[in-house]
Amino acid sequence: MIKHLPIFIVLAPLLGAVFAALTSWYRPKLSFPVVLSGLFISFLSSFCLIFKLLNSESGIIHYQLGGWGDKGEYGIVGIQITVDYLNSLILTAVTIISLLTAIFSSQSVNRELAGQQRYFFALFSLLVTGLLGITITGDIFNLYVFMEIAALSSYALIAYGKGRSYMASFNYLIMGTMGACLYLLGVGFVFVKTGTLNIENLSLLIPQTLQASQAVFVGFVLIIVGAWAKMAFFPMHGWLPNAYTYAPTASGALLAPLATKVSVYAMIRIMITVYSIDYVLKSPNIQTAALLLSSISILVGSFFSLTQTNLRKIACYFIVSEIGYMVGGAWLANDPGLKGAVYHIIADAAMTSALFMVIGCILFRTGQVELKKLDGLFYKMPITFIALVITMAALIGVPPTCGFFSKFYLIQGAAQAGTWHFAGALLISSLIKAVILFRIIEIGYNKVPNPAKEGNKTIPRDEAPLSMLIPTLIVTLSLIALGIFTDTLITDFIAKALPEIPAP
Amino acid sequence: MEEAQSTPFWIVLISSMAAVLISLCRRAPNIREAIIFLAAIIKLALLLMLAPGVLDGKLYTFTLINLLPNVGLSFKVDGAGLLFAFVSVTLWIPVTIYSIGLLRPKNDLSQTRFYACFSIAISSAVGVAFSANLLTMFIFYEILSLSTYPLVTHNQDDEAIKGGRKYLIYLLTTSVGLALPAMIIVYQQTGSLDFMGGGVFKDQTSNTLLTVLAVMFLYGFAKAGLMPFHAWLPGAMVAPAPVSSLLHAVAVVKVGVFSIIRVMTGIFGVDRLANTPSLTMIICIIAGITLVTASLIALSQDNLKARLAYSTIGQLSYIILGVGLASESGIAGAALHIPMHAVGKITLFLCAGAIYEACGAKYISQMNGIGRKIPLTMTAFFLGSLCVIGLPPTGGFISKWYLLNGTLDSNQQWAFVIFLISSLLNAAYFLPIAYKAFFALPSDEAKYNKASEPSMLMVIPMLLTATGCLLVFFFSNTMYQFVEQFLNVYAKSN
Repeated sequence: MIKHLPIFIVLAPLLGAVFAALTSWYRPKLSFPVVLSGLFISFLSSFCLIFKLLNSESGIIHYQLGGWGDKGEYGIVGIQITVDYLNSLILTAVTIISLLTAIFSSQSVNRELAGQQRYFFALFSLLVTGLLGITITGDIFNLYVFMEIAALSSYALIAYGKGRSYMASFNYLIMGTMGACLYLLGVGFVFVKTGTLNIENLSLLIPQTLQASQAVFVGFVLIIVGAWAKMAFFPMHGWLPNAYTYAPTASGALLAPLATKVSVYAMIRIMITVYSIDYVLKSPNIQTAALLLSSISILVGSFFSLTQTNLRKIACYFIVSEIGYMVGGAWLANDPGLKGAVYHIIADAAMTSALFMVIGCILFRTGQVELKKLDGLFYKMPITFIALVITMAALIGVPPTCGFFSKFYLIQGAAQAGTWHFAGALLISSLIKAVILFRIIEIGYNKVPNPAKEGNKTIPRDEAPLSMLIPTLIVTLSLIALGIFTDTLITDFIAKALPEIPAP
Repeated sequence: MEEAQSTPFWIVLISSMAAVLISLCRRAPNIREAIIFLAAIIKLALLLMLAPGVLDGKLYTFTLINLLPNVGLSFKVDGAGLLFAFVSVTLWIPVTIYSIGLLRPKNDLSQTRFYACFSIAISSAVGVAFSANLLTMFIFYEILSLSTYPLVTHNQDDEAIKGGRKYLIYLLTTSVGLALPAMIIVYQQTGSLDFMGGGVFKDQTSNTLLTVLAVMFLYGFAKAGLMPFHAWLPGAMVAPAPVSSLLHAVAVVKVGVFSIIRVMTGIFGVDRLANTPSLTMIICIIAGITLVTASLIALSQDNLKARLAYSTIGQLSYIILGVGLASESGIAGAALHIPMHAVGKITLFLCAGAIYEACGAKYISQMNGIGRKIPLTMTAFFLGSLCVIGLPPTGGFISKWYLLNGTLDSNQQWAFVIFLISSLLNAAYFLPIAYKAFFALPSDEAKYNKASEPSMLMVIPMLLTATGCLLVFFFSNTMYQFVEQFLNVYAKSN
């Protein structure tokens, strides 16, 4: 049983999706508990796996699907699942956040998608399957398959919204398909040259014998650019703000924190495991370009967020800038930079999740999230408002929240590499987020629309229902908890996950 | 010698715990305010418990949790930190009495928030005083900025919001944009952020880098009000009088200069400072320019609170200039000027609030002759101004004595002259206020006919702090012993 833990992580939500679709014919209300239990099993397995990993000596757990190639010959047929320090953390983050988001969504789906919710949770579960698959697989072709599973279900989840969501979803589809094609093409190049798709085999082959191969290099570039398109990295970020803004609350809350972050993980996996840091350092042109694009991405995301009036759009542009943080950190290709990038995947998943949940709560009660109409929000929904302020503080990087520590490592990495434009972009983006926080505070807290000052009347409190509020609070408090346990995360997981990096 | 003990952590935490209780007692104002006094007294008692050990040369340390490899959320209590914490907590008591006298009659509905944020601010000020490394200090520094924002915008009108915006933009921009990168560069260069006697830098670290870092820290801790990042301080004067008096004369601004003292002594190291003329020169020039300019601007202000604010900016630069002298007596003067100026300035701000309450006068030109109507308030004002100018028998004299000694020790005669000029300017902008209040004829007799002393709850705290101005003069030797312990750790490391 314990031996089969890794596959449960992916299998549980997949079966959840299938059964949810089947039961919805019989009784639509059953699909939600089915999906929830699938996600819960997945969460438990990933949690247990962390302990198993910590106890194992090698620091890596292999699982051969169907026992193919159990004796060490992976060949091209055997499908391998690998869990190591790098992805175990991300797996746990994905399972926790998707479980909480599922609980969070039930009310908003019932209200927003009344009459249409039949397949929603089946798709929800399928998306989670795809994301977990990308994270856990030990095979670059399977990574593509799971990428497509995740992408196809997310196109549908976005198009569930009304009005502009169809167009937004279509834009996403075009961009996502292009990204997937580039990725697949890159995998093709690599396969032709190496004859294997297994990440571990590749990691033995490419850095040692195929350093100079042009085909492998082209494959590298294609794979990276494909991943960039998937994660909405500048200049391929155009699809993201609309897609996540016009999607239903529940889809946005699931997609925004997880989809892009998992693509970043895929990129880092390809960079450090398949190709090795040495290889990255030996392609200085791409490195320079990636770092420049990261800085631009951060600045573009931040400045555009400043011009928006809708809180959800602001949050979407935040994602664009945060993607720049992670890509930049990874491409600094030094120890603090990579640590910061991996840490930020976890931190940003939590931050974005908290932000979209808070927005969902506000949307549920007030029906809109235009910044100007949020006056007096503090008096109406005090808990939600405080959660919003904590989340924004984490995004700005106020200690002791997790956002501070990722920024600390990223800037340290930039300083070590001498990439000052990246450090500058990080600081500017922090300040811009601070400006947005002031706006939120001035509108939500200082504009008192009520007679509370003159008379003794107060605005009636009207918080979102508990099934939405509790997940929101858990994620928000985790921002502080993550920050306080930075040292544990870094030394016990992330430092072990990264290969040895030659000191400058 | 170091001794691990969790008391410092509890001292920091008590007022935050009080903040939680305060927000629960929204409907019972008497209990709410009793909690504040209780917290302040417990805090003082614990501080006093640490005092004998610190005077014996002990350093109390405590690490709560490791945040980064090699850097924890750690506390270390030394003489200067203890002195600063002691001053902030002691002055918290009269200011609370004053707040009760000011806010209760107005039936202000946000009082609970006011007291809760106030307590958190005290916690973070003490946290800065006790920090053992730069990261811990930075964390408390930021908490202080955020927790004082609701206090600055207490009135929640347009003016308050504008002042609050300026406040946060200045403080956050500088700390995130300058102090944070400087801290990261220090970590990247040395792998350590601990405050240590002799500093953390190795000998081969280039002087250029050190100078750049020093400037980043000086401006990064904008709470110290160095020009050109000083404009938040006059802007924050929209806050109610107790906020201006405790926070913008004592806790917040002193946290700024205290941070700079800590960084200069614990990160750069006094020896390194003394041996790098370019470094001390730049500190002295920045502080010297601010000192003179702020005093000149103060002279031209007619709004009493604005004049006090600019005077604060000038006095803060005394402290930074003292550090920049990099001599023992200069640093002693700087550390002593924190309590001395605190008690003087708090008296002045409390008086400014009381004058406004009693006569409705905001501008100095309206204050002719009011001394006869509110003699107690104006007497307190007079004593407070003596202390800030630095005339005996008030505490300001002692710290200026050490500062002037410091200029001669490090052969910076020009700084000696600047101190003297500035003291004259201080006298020029403070003494006429008290003089005219007592001896000039009121310009508008009818207006102040009915003016009388404000409520006793406001007068007593002012008299207490005014007496404090005299007491610190007579007990300055005890205070110097604390500073001496600090100097033994940081300034005499070789």
